[in-house]
Amino acid sequence: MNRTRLSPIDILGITLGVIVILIVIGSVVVIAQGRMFDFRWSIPELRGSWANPRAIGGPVKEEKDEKVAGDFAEIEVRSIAGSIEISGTSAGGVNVHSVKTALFRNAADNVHVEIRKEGNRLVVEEKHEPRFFFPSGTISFQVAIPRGVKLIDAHSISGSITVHDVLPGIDQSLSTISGSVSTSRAHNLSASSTSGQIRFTSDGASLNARTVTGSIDGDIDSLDKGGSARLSAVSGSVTLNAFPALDAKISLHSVSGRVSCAFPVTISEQKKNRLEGKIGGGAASVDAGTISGSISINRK
Amino acid sequence: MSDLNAKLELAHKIAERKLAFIRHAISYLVVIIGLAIVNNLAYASDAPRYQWWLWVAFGWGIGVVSHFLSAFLYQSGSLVEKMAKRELEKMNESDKT
Repeated sequence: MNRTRLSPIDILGITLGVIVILIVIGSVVVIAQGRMFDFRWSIPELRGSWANPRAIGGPVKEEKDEKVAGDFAEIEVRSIAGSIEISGTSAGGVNVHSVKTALFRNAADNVHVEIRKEGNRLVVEEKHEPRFFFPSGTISFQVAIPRGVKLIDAHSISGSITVHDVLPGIDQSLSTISGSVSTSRAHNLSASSTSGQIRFTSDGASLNARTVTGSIDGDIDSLDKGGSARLSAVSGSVTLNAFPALDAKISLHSVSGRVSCAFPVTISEQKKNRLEGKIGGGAASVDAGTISGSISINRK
Repeated sequence: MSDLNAKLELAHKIAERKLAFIRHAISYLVVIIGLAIVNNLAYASDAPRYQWWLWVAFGWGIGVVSHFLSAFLYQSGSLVEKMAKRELEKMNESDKT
């Protein structure tokens, strides 16, 4: 058998190559674990990680209930990727149920719930450690609010926002980027989403709903005199189911979508994709616009 | 003689590649160890600190590993040379037919 002998230079080169490969693999493991902030890499800790893969990986799910006593006029909830669900409760205080999910232990440790009081406002927020470019956990919130709350302010980046079973007369400001927004009973409402759908029921003096690729589907139970409803979408459709006594100036305009209104309208301008006029005396205003989506106002 | 010269030239190239890799690997190790020391000793507090040097170790390491593979695994010439030889053989065969 013809075996070539390795020279010292070959042995040195191969040794260096193996060392570099081990360093690259090690750095990948540490980066993937999200341990970039932990400089205490003791050997027993690493040994434990290797011996027990669950110490490194495996999905993590933690649920936590916190009750905040006190009366609050405003509730603010902020999440990144987790969903937000807000409901009413007859009990006193605010109940915050948070569900933390992560791909592995360290990612779960990178995120936590922060609850703080700012005057009469209670802020519930998802907070992340200042880390760079590796996965972190996600927190979803289920918040139960008591009587006396006047404003719900909820924001998410990619999570959906749902408000249901709350008392009437609560103003709501709900925004997300890629999630959907749904509220079953809002007074004055401001809702926005970039790619998600917006569903609502409102009865206040001010209604603002904006989306880009999602659709808007809402019920207006009442619209105060002098009030306004502004709805805009780009590629999604806008569908409004309004109370029978709607009294408003309407301006519905679409670039390529259809426009329709089930109420009797005193028309001031009508084109294929545009309708302006008055329903009743025109005490409030309804302004809806889309680019390619259709617009329809239906009678409830 | 031309065959011997070709072999000598190839051996020279391989030796050069191996030495170049060794220089590259040593400078990689020296710089990475230096960065790791700077990362962990440049602060007074014991607070956890961001291990940014790992990104350098990972990114540059991929380049060094590629260099290692090319120096020690592909000793019989580069891929371009191999492909050129094959193309030449094909041309010779087509000339014969």
